[in-house]
Amino acid sequence: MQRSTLYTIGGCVLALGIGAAAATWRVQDSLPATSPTAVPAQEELSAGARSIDPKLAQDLKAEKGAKRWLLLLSAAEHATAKEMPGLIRAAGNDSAAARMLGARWAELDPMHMFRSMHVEFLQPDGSPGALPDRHGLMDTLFEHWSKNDPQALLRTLTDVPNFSGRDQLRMTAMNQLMKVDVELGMQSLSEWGIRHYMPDMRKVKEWAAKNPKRAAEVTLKSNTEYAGQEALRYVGKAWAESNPEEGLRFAATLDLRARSNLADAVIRSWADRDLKATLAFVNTQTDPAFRTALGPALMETWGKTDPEAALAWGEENLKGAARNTAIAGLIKYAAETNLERAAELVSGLEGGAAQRSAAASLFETWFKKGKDQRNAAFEWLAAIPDRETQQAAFDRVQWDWVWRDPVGVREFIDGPHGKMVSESMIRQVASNQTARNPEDAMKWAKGLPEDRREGAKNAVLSSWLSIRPEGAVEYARNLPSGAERDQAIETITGSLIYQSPQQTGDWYRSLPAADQKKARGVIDRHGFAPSQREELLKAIGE
Amino acid sequence: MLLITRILSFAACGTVGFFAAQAFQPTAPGWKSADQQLKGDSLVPLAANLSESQLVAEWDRLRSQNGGETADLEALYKAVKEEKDAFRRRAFRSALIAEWSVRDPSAALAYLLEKDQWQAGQLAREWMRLDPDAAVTGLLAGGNKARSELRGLLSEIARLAPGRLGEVVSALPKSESRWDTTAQDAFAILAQKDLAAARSAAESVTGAQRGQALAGVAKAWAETDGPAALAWAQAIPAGEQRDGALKATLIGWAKKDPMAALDHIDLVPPGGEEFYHASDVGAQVLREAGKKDWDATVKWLIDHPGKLGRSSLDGLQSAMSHRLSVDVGGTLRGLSTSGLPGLSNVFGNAILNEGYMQRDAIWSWLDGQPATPFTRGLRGSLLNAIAWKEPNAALGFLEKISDQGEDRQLLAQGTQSLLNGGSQFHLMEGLLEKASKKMRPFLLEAAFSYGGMQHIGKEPQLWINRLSEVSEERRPQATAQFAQSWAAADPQSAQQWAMDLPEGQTRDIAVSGVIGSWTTSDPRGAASWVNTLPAGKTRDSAASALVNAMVSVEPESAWTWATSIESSNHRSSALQVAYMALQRKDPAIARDMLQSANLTADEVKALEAAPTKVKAATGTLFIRSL
Repeated sequence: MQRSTLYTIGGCVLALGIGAAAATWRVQDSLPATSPTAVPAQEELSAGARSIDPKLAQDLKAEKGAKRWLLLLSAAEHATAKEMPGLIRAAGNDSAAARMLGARWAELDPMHMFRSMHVEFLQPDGSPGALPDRHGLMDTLFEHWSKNDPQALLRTLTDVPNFSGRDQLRMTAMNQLMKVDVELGMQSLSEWGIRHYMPDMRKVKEWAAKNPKRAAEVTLKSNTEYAGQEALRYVGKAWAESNPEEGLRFAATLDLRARSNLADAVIRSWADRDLKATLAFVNTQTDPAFRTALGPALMETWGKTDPEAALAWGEENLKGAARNTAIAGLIKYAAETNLERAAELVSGLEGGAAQRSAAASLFETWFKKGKDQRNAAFEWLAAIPDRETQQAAFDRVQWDWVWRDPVGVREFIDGPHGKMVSESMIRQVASNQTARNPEDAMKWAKGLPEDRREGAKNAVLSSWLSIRPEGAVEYARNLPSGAERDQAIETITGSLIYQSPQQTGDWYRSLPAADQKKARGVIDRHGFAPSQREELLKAIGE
Repeated sequence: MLLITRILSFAACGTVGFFAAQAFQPTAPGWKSADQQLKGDSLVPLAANLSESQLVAEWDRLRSQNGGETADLEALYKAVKEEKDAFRRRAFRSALIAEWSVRDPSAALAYLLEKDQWQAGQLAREWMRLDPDAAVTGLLAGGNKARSELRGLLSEIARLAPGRLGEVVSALPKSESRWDTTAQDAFAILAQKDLAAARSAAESVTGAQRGQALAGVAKAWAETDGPAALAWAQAIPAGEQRDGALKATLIGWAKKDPMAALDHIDLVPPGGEEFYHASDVGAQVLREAGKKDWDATVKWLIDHPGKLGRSSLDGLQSAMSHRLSVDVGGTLRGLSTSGLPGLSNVFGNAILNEGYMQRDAIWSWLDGQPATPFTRGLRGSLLNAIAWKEPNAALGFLEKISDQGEDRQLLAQGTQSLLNGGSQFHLMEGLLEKASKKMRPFLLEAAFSYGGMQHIGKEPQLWINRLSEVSEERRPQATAQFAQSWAAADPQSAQQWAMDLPEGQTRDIAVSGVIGSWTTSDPRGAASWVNTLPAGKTRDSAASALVNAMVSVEPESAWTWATSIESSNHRSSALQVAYMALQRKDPAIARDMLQSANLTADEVKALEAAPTKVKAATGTLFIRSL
């Protein structure tokens, strides 16, 4: 072979190699890194995936019973991660199948599953081609990932850029993390800035019991809100079991809220177990602020067995608002076991805020014992000739009652004891009814006793303005001259001036002169900035 | 060989090498929908092969260990439950439930309802797949627990056993969840498929869910023919069910023709749910309208001022969030020029939710705009959202705001947002540690205002020291708040501190604060202390505070205290407050006390001319035992 031919062959081999290297470099350069920080392309996620055999797709639709599941099982066994979305879609809108296949997908490649689901979450739910039960799939992924590589889960959800639904996914993931590694779960709460959410706390008790001090430190470091406070309560209970004095000494070093939560939990559990020792500890505290902080929990727990003695201790050792709060708490717990005894204690209290608050506590406990107990509770409260006590009592149950039983509340207000409820409760009911039907609400307000009527009508009109202003304005215009019309003109003007100078102007100009005077009075009374005032006056033509 | 031939050979080899290597690299085919994937490509499609499957073999083994073809399914279920691997456990459990549904669904249902109710829904679905009619009959006859499973199956029943939907919905009790719309959704599914059948079924429904059934039909119908659905809904006898159907009609109609739906908004009462944000028909129609055509929706609202109020406008929140996610600048420019009052509130709610993702983009956009009341308002809303979601980050944003001119108010409000009315007071120490010299007084003012009663009095020395850091303008108010808070925790120490202050306005304010709080917890103690004070301005301030604090509970005592005040400004207002309270309690007593109080003629005249309109009666506390 000639030397030149050899050179040519060698050159060709070299060129082949260079070409191959170039192709490899080009492809590698075009593949995104498997990091969650970039939104992956659908192409990348499904590259190399096989399609679903049409017969399998048909069988999955047609088969019934166990066979359908075995087909899915068999297909999933040989599928790669990239093929799982196709298989899940072929299984149809079946959340049990989606979760089962999701579990397999998570086993095969959790990061691929996460990246695929990330893309899913960027599309509106129910988009054509979207995976069924996207939240169930994520939950399945997080369950697997948290058990097998929780750090990777934490890192991935920390690094992923913000998208609609990310916070919700973080909460789902956090629930799974809290089940397998509470410390990591608390860390995720902190890193993800989730403050107003209560994750699954079932493992916290066990975690706290192992080393309460460590658990308290981790919790405090996590600087979380709901979950952190709840975790501190678990820590307190655990500490009460192992070394309550150490727990309380630790609590004494904390800020007010953390101290209160931790110390409360320690004291309650400790006093339940050994009241004498708890009392001895509290009595030996020389810092009055700390002793005051411990008092309410001690009294409430003590009150379950000997409320008279607990009350006497509180009278002697606490003062001011703390004393009143502690007494109210004591009565609340005492009433749970013996209403009559609690009522006697309330009767024996000196008149004033403490007695008022204690009576409200007793009523609250009684009311919450159930619907069959309520009439008796109402009768008891009605026998107290003090309006403030009655209203304080209703304030305790108002929100929950109106939320759970709006019709029942309305019937109560219309009934013989309706006079006991507070103005704020009337306003709340009036406002809720207005959101449903303003005309009906106004009829209801007009039917209330005279001393409640005005407040209720005003509340209806204000809410009416916020939902159907035109109707509210029409109602006011049709009122005859008099106090009610004047009040309505003022209410509407007072609302419009905060919304729009133009609407205020239109409203003002539509009024007769006497009403304009009322409206102008409202404008004059409000402390607007000069520029706003000028704009308003211009709008009304003055 | 010619040079040119050699070069061409090299080029050809290089090209071959390139393409040959590329063929072995992962490619990036286009994203495929399920249908596209099902059509296949050059690779062998993914298929199932039961005979070669190890997992199927495992399943067979498990079954044979538990009785084979005549397997004891309860025992098998327990065995499957023990499986540690999540995929196998789910797969085997599903296969078992499916097999059970074939063999003896009633027994399976009874077992699962008793032992593992969470899985009963899956069994019901398998049963529906096999024999929808039998499944419905079986579940209806299976007692309350079994019947409750039907609620979760209503959509399937609408698809697979539409003839039974009316019967099933009639048999269901009212849902315990106020948000449950499964019956409405099921009737909407049926109406999309067969309107006549859905109407007939809905009209046959009796019981608590009839309203939902009618609403479901109305909603789905209106999505295709609003006027016809409206006529049908209007023909329903007046009442809640008719209102519900009309509401659903307008919401459905809005998906197709939002302006037409808005034009009919007056046909139905608002229908808002208690404590349910943006639940009224106006809000829900606006939600659909804003999604479909934002500009036309805003124009409609401008053209119909007063038709829908602020709470209805909240329905635009999700559309606003979406628009922010697509185009921050355009959306905010649109807001500034819309002229629609109330849209700024929608913005405020949007950025507290989904719109928050655009935090930085919104801030940047605002930085590029001239300062106007509009941009200040938006920035205030944004700061409020940041303060709620990320208080530590909010401090950084607040640092960027000037403490001069009109921005000062924005800075003060933003700082107050950090405490969220006092509920985030526990963040205060951490924020103070990080705050600049500029921010510190603002934080402290917010702390005295919003952390007042509950917190600052529990650490008095710390907060006494901090009073001096508050601006002179705000210090009197901060002093009063601190005094109140401390007196709530420890009245004696608080009054001692107040009296040790130099004589003057600050001391008077502090004393008033102490008395206001002390009277609430211990009126007699507070009154005894005021009695010990020498006559003078401080004593009059204290007595005036005592009157205000006790007037609603003990108006007679308040009156007596009011008559003891010497300085004219404190005296006249205290007398008026006490006299009004007496009148509320009993006008005859009020008259008697007025006549016997040895007041000047001018004082009597002024009191008699004071308004007599009163709110509530009061009394002396007396608790009877049971």
